Amino acid sequence: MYPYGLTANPYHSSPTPRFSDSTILGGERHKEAKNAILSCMHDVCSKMALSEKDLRVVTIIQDVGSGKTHLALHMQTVEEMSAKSVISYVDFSQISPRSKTVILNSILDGFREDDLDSLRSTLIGLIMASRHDREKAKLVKRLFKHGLLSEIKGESLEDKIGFLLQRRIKIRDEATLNELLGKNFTDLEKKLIYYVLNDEMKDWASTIVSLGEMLEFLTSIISLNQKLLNKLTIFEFDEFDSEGDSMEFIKAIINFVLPSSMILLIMTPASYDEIRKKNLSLYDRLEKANYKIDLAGSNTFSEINDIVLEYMRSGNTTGEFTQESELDLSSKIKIIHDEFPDFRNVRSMINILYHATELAAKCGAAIIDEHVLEETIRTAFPGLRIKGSIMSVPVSDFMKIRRMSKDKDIHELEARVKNAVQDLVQCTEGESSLSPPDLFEGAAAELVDVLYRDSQGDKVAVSVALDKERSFKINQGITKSQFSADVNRVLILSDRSGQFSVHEKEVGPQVKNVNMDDSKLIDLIYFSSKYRNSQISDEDLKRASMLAKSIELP
Amino acid sequence: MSLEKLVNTIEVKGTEGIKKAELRREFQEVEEIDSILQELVRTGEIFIERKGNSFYCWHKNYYLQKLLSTDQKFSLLYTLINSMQDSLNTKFDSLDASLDAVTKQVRMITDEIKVLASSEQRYTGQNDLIPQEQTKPIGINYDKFKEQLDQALAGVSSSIGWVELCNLRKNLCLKMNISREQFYRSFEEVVSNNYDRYELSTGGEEGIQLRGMVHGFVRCI
Repeated sequence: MYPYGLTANPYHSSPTPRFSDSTILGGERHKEAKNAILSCMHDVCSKMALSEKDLRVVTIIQDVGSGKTHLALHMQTVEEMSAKSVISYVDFSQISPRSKTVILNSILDGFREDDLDSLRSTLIGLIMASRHDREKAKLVKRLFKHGLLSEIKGESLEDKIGFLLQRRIKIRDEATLNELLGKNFTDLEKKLIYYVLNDEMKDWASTIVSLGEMLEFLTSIISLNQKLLNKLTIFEFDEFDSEGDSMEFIKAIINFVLPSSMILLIMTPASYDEIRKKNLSLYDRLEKANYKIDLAGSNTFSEINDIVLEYMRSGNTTGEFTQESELDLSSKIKIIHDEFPDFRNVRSMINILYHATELAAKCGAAIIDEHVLEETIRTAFPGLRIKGSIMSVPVSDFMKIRRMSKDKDIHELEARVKNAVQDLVQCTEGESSLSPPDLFEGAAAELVDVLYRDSQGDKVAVSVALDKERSFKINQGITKSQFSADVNRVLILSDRSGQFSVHEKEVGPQVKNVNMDDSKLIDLIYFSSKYRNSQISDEDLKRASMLAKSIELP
Repeated sequence: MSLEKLVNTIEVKGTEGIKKAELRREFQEVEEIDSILQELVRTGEIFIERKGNSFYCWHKNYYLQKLLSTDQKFSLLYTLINSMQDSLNTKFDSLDASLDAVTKQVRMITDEIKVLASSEQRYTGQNDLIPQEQTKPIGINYDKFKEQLDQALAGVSSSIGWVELCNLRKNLCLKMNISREQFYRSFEEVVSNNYDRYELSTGGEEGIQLRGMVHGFVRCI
């Protein structure tokens, strides 16, 4: 059983999305991009009846792993889209050699079988319907070589049409087919229909050599889709770059202006820049694209979070993935996103969630908790460490402490840090070095959290200041030299840099402000927790010493 | 008598040489023949040497050959000197080649210094336009760098917003008078502290490493 009552893992594990994985689309920016493509499609559709040349160029330019391919594949699954268009998806990274003929063949391969079958069956339906016309009925009989002998054999014309539909027979009388199709189609369209009926379109396309003929061929396909299916044709060119004949082919398509169609060019900023350097003319055309889809911010937390949660929502048939579960998972995703720059992209995060969901299922965990995520990161990404962590805090503890530090109020966090500092001094300098801070009287007593003698014999006062009010008090207190008589050094540990103007102090002890970032706070709390539970190993002692040095304690 | 005729007479005799007495006989009309011969010896046109009881004259073109064929010691010395000469020539040739290479390098360095000096002059020449702190090397201030970075990004953005880091780096290094390393160190710091504000993309000639890939494009979100 998968966590949150899921019946299957909603995430996919392939390094690049597959068609079957692309039905789910999350993320505000990705949804905006989807709407832009749909809007472009509706615009072309509304003008389709005019039967004029009307090509729309749409560009999607974003970094690898940001969800461009997913978006392109997802568009094919959108009912609104498939009801009005036929899509050919071409992945340029799979085309080699990058010659015009191979590109054309890839375009044909890029059409979904369902769409090609639909075109073919519509054509056969057209032939069937022709039987009701007396003149055309004769032509249909001739086309299928249906005579008296067939009747004697017990084969009806409908049987033969059925055989054609099932690809059991082929028609070879091209002249009769042309006559039957009449003036509704151009010569090239009739030729294409002949090859479509016989399932030989790709063989024919392989014989086309000139670019002009290729464009005419594409025009015929678009025209048939329009006339027979009442759909516009969309060409999605993924991983478009400057290699081989790619640029020349796309430039020709744009210049030729195909009828009622859209081309979607998907590329990275690097390949777009490469095109600028190699073919200014094409670059200029792409710069003037009808739609420039911008997935800016596709790697921001809000976008990644929404995408990841969308998968969970889609698989949530039992309703166990509640609003509360969303918030919980979201907080964990936030920590991964913030602490591991390597995972700040959709592809990596989905990969983690895939593994985590699988692992949770194996462990029988009801939710994806910190331990599952830690185990996932540890096994799937063994070399990964938390940036800046001296105590080598495990990911699960890091997540827990981090969540605590975000959720709890600042006073509680400050109290834990104070205890941790005291523990650290006790551990590294020895218990005897500590003096009770209440040696001071009045306001000064409030400012000192830890008081100890260092190895030089100097008396050191430590103040932890994580909230603004206290920071202000400490600043004022030090300025008035309240420590000067009894202390050699004052150390102010804060989580904001440049908070105190201590360097301006002229009289009294040496005062130093040490800025602690989030990872140091977590290191301190983690150390303290281990220290109080008597779980400190020799290795931990070395690390504790390093941690103390990093905040200038010894 | 012509001087040329006298010299020719001596030269015709080749390595054998001609007796002074014979010359006197041949050029009886010339009274001062001894003085003329002395003058020719002084200018190095001929050589005179005693051979047996007579004095012989040789033309400069044949005297060396005469010495080599008659004087073994001289011949030996001559051979030694020649081999020394060859060896010296070889050394000089290789020295010449080395000197050429060094000269070329010095020229290149000089050119680079000139370019640097001229850019320095150009830079100094714009003092009126550039704030004072930008005209000398500065310790990189985080906020200052971020401000300059944002300005540069706004200034050179393409229609899709992406900017090649290589160009950005050149621009900022020149403007802030900082090194490439300083630029990338500061850039990485700014971007990692504001990862929801800046977006990086793979590719480009240079950039920062993320997930083992060079990210050489940047834009503001």
